[in-house]
Amino acid sequence: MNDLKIKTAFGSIFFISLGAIVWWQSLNLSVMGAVFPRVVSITMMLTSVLIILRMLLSKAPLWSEATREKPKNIWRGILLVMTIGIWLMLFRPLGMILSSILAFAVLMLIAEQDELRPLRTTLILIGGAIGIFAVTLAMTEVLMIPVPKGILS
Amino acid sequence: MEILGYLLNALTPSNLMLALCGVVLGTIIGALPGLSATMAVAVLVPFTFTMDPASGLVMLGAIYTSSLYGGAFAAILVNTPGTPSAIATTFDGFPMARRGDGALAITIATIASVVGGVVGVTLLLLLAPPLAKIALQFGPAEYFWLAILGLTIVSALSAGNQLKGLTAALLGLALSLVGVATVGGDVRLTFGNSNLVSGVNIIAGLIGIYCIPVLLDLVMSRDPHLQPATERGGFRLCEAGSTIIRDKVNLIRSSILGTLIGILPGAGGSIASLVTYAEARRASSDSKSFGKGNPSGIIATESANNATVGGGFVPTLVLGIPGTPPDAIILGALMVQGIKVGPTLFVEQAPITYTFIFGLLIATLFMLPVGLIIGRFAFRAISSIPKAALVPAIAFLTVAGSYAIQNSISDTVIMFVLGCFAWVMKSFSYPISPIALGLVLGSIAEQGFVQSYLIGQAQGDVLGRFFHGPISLALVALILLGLLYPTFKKLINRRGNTSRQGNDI
Repeated sequence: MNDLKIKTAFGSIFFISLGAIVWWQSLNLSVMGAVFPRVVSITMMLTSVLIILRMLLSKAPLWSEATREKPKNIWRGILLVMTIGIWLMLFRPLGMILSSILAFAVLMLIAEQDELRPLRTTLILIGGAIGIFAVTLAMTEVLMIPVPKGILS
Repeated sequence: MEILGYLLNALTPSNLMLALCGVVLGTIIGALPGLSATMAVAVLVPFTFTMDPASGLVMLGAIYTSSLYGGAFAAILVNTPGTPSAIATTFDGFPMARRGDGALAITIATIASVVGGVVGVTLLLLLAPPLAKIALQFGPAEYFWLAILGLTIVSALSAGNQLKGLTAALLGLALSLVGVATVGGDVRLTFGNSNLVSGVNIIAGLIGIYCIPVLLDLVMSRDPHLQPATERGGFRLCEAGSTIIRDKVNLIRSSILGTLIGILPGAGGSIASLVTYAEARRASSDSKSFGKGNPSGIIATESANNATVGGGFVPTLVLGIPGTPPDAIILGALMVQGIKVGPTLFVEQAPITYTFIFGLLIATLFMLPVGLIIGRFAFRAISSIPKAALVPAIAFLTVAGSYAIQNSISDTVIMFVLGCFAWVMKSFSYPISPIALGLVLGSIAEQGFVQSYLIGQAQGDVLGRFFHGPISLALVALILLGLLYPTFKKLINRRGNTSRQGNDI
């Protein structure tokens, strides 16, 4: 069984489980609230079973593009997810501007694929900070959207 | 002659200036994921109360139509639809930008949007009352089948595996179930989390599903985001013009279909652009290149989604039934101005109504120069920005945009979680566009389904309720065609190859 088939099997099992959870949740609902979730869950489980059956019966590849993926640096991806996660946690306590500037700096370092050049890095950071100020100002003053000010309040 | 007077009224310097400002503002707002047409129109409504009613409406119309068009910028340059109706524009727009044809893609999108918008407004001007009657023929069952048609089309477009596309669409539907039920008011699938009671916000969901995978791919790969502009710089207007003239049938067909779908309240640009995209692909002799950067895909989707603006105003103005949230806000603005909408609007309030419609037409025409200038700048800027600046900039816009929808960090967290999940789905070779469409169309599908089910139950014939009337049957036929067409096509191709081999022997 190749990598794609293993992924497909896992994906289908996930969707069958998800369908079962939706069905189970619908048991506590009124008829009006439950009828559509049940239709969705049954159809989801059915299509997932069909995908598994097709995978078992067919020798052809299931998806033309996914099999030839280029090598990826997964660590940068994990760092990006962690940075955005921490950013969202600090969004209220530090405020939108401060947390966003800090996140901008970290994300800039994560995304930098070449050697760090101090002048370019500083320019990007200053440009980013100005952009963050400008967008925040537009949100608060033009669109009247209250944003968390955090420790700057 | 009276009509000419209304046209001249729309052409006064102040109205022209308001339309231009509206177009610039709307295009920029539409291009930023998270800032929607609804938000822009809603924020600016109070400012228009101090204006002359016709001028205020001209500005609101300009913002609405141009923000729909602005969604194409982010779709083409960042693979993130600025608005739900630009989802299908990502299919061919981004591949074109990747290979260095971003300027051409934007020029094509601009011309197609202008033509689509003009067709929509012209049909509104000429045929509003009879067209409104078509919308009244759609009951709950028809709306249900229409939503399912949209989902099956996007699944069918998942070249290579329709079943995975269908499963992804069902996941989108399941996500739309979270929170308070559309009919009945049950609180569903929240697992005790109060942040989920209001459901998964569609715009936040779209930002996550499209932006987070883009960010992850950007940092994990060394490939450049977009190829720099090709040697043929500038707007590439002649090239775009000749491409569009070659594809004029697609352009006109998509504009008319977009207007007709726009007339159906609730259907909107997302269904219109998908239906026209599927139709363009079906009718094309080079259907295999769709999804890989075929300009015909952009022509179909962009002309259709801007045509829905004119179409959407048909039921809004004639019947008082708003087709989309911005239509509803503009309807509210009309009412505040003391304008009574209804079939007699075009007679009793003719000066304001016709000035508004002509203003919409002028704003649509303004989109051409404004869009070309902004588009050229945007493509050059985005293709030359290093990843070290692009990644944090997109990340900030996704976080700020999803927060701005309801001033809620919960929406931002939902956006982020959904985005990470979409990336995992993508790496498991499940397409992500059907998830987005399922989320967008979920409430229309559920409302239509539950209402039909209840009416059918009361009449003692549930199945009959879903399959009554010619419109339902026609939609079901189209759904079956969409689902079975790839299989039939494969069989026909295989038979053709076999007979050719037989002849060769």
